[in-house]
Amino acid sequence: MRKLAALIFLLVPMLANAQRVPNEIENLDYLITYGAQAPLSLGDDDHVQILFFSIPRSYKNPIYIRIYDPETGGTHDELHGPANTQTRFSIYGGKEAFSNKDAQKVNPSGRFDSGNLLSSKVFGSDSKTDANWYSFGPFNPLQGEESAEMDGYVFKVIIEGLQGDDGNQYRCFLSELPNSNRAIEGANAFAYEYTFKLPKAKGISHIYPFIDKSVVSITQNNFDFDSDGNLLIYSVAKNRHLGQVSGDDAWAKSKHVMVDAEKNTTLDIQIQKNKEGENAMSLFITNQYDEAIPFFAIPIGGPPKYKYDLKLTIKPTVKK
Amino acid sequence: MPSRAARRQVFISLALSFISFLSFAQSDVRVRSFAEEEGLAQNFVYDIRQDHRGFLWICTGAGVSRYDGHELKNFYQSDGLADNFITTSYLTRDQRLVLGHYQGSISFFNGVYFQKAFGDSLNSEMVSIDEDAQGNVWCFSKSKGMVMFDKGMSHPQIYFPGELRGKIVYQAKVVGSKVWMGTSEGFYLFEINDSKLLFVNAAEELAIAEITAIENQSADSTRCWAASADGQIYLLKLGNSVQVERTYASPILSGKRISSLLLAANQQLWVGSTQSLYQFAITATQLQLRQDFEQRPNLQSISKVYQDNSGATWVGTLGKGIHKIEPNHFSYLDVASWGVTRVNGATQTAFGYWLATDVGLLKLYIDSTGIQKVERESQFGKQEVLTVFATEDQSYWLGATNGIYQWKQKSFSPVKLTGDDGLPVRARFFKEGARGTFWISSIGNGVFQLDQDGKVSQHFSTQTGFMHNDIFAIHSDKQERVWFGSQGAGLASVDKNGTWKLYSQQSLFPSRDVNDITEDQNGVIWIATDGQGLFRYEKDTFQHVIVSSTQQAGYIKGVLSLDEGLWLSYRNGITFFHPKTTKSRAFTSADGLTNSETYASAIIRGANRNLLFLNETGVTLFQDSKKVEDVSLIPQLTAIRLFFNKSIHADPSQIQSAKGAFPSVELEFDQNHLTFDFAAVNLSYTGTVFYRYRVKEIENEWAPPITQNSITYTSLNPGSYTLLVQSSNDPENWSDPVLEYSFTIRKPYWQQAWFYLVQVVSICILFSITYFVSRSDRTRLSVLRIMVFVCLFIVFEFLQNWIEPFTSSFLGQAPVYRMVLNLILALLLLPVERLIRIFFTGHKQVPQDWD
Repeated sequence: MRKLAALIFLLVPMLANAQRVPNEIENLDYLITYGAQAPLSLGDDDHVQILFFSIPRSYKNPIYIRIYDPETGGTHDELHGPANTQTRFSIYGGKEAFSNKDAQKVNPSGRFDSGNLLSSKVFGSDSKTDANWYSFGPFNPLQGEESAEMDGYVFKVIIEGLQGDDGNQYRCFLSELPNSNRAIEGANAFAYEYTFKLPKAKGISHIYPFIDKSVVSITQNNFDFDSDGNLLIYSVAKNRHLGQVSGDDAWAKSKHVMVDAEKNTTLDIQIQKNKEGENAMSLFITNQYDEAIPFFAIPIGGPPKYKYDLKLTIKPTVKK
Repeated sequence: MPSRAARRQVFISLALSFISFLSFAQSDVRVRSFAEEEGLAQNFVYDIRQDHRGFLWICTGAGVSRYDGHELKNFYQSDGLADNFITTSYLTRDQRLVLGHYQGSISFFNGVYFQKAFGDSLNSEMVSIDEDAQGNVWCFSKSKGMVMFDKGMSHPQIYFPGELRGKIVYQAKVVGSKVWMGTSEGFYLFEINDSKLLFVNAAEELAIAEITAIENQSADSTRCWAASADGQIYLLKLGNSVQVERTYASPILSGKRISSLLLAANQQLWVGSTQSLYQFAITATQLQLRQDFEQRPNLQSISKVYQDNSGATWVGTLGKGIHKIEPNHFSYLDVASWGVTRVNGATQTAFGYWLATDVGLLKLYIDSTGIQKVERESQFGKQEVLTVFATEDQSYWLGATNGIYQWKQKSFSPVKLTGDDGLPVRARFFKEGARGTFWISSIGNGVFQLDQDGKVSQHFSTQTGFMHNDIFAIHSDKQERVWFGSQGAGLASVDKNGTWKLYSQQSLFPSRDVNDITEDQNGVIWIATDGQGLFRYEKDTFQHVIVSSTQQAGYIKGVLSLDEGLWLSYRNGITFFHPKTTKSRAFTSADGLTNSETYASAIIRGANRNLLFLNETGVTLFQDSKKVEDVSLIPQLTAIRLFFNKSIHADPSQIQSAKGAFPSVELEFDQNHLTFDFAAVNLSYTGTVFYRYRVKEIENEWAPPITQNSITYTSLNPGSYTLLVQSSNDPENWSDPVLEYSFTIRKPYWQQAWFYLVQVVSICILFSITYFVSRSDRTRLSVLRIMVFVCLFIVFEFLQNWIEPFTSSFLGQAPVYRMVLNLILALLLLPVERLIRIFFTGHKQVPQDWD
């Protein structure tokens, strides 16, 4: 994990919008959290989204966690009848905000809301924040949980669909400024499970889990993909490995063995959507111990490139 | 249609007016900032608190900083804090500083060291600490309830009322038996009953409001100010229910997250928001914006607004350190934009000020908010005006390069006055004399005295035998004696009988360069010289007065006496001097003066007792309403360390009984290399602090003044000591109270009475055994004799050590008493031996050869 931290802080500064979640490079427009009364068949398996932001130790200035369109009922939201959904955004820091095992699980159970509650706000239907940014903060970087793994401080954002049946679509940004998005050099965002909205058009979205040296195999789990296309795994050693895709209101999973060349590298899990239209789904990845693997808003070390293994044999020609 | 040139002139005039208005539109406050570069523990400040000794405690995310006016000292977990991240603080009635931490732990400072009072089991940020009427201390966390301590900061009890579950508490206050809480879902009112917290009510109208800050309504415990996350401010009425009595909506606060409220004196409300800081005046129906600080980049993300005992406002920010906002003693009227390169004179008028400058006579219109307009008096155009003066009956005089003028109705009329050369007199300055007379000091033509009718009654110049033709100071004193000061010829006076005294020329006065003369209420004449400082003249004697060595004390350009003291202007600042106490206070750029080099000017007394200090491009104004307070520097002992190292912790029971002062300590005999740390706390004074010190028992004289605030004594003998420390802003003046601190260094065990007794008893036992086991009388007698003598020696040794600490008071350091005691001992030996002999004679036959 130390290596991971080193890699993060070496490579992230090169990327300008490292702290936008979902990130442009993922080709996901919005994250989505449905109200508690929304059926699971809409794509959200638990009505809770947990995100983490890591801040490098060297950063000493105030930080802001900004949410784009946190309300439900206006632009960008998925309404099912009149807007009736409330979503709570809570920011946590301090002891156990990240390190508590429950916080790193894919199901919001136990002490998933561990840590020190810093700020919390419930959004319903609100024209002020519709298609607009709302800023939490300022926060002192030291308010995050000190993490040796991440070589810095980690903040947790929990988004909970409290009531209603609408889908709240939003984006997050870790910013230096309260009123505009300015990325923090060396910071990153990651999650253990994503519930997101795929772009309406056909296309490819990406999830970038980092495979550390202890991972022997991964299991990708996806929910409610509606069999809209394919799920492909790319890495330095895998080229277009097919993963199982889920149908409507169903889970699907597939296990993939990691070879040595893939250790300490990033996988590119491509979600190939072959149909046009709205589709929200959830996805997480576990290792051989059923522990969730974090995926980062931007791929550590950049998107993987398959290295072709050419086996050339040179045979000497004998002049006669 | 005006010509193009005329239009251009109008445009330039308008532009100049606008520029000049801008140059006057400066804030009436000055801001001093403290960040990590200045020694602050961290730039994220969460709370500010002044303790009973005057120290300002600044709670940050990486330690607590203690500020004494000069130095920031930081304290961390290694100093006893439960955690480095401090989010709130409170000073209890028994002077404990209680600190709440980010993870929910609680520490307190007992006056000597920090102690942990509660761990971080709550894992929730402490947001407020307060004390109820019984002395119980309540510590409120953000989301996990609260901890209550008893009066001794012990027996913590945790409460988490159901009404607060799922809510964030932003601020809480204990007022009498009531607890007010601003939460993420409105305002809550609780009651403390028998150390239990009972829910009373919540403000229904604020159920969906995030109440982020609350503040007391002065002494009214039934009203409370509350502010919300969207910029609304409410005045609440609290009873069995909570009602919004009035809502104050200020456009400038709309949508802003208010983080701190401070109700200051005169119904001023300071509002800190995540954006900036604002000051409002509260009226019956609205908030009137007095000042906003949005243009100050450092005053953003406000976390706390706090007022110290001197009335200065401290502002804590998240990320930009802490800032002190205090009223400017001085306001500077800058006229450089009018092309002025020299201000020759100024006087205060009904409309504002007249400024005599090298580019004409400027009229400054002033109202309560500052300078509104500047105009050039058209009569003189851009002609240089040398001086302007207002008499007590509001008659105005003006000196221009072409003569002297007097104000007549609506304009200045020339006054016909020619010098020895037949040319119009150019006035340097004017001065009112006794019995309605008027003095004109001219450039190169000596001085003229006008009578009540405005006619020249006397003219003194070198042609009439006067000491000099250029006089820089004239003063007509209460005895109708007129004093003259010149550059080169020094000081002279003429009494009402016409008798002249040429003090400098007759070597009665040491300086030949006199800049200004004034007289105080007691009739003492004060003379400011160029190079030799300040002199007082009383009872026919001149006395040199040392004001301060912190400025260029010898070069005093102006001196003016007011009821409360003297004002002196120097090359690099302005000083206020108390003749009685001889205490002085130097003002420099840190106090709001502009360019320090430009204060080499005379001091002019304006209307309303305002003072004007001229400089090259403007006038510095000191308003009388802004009283100058003495610089009082009372030293406080802050720590005792063992030879620069570890701090000594006093006994907690003694700390308690010392009631906030540093308690007296008793140290072991080998803890006799001691470093004492002290600080003279004054948050308003920014100049140098000098200390002098001595230990009463070993030093008769004060040590020379130092500026460092610690001293070390080594190899102190056992005994009781009193450390005396005095501080001052002037190394020549030591009138502030002295810190007296008593401490004791214990004797080693071998110098204590019980040990001597043990020695005597042991010897007695030893010799008794020997005595009784001895067979011959002769041996027995020898043993007895030795035993008695050894015991005698031990008793005398004890007496010597016992008496020694008391002898220095009457014998000094000379070891006379030892010699005396040894003599007494020697004299005692013979009678004792005789007594032994008698004792044996009475019982048994003394051996023949015993002697």
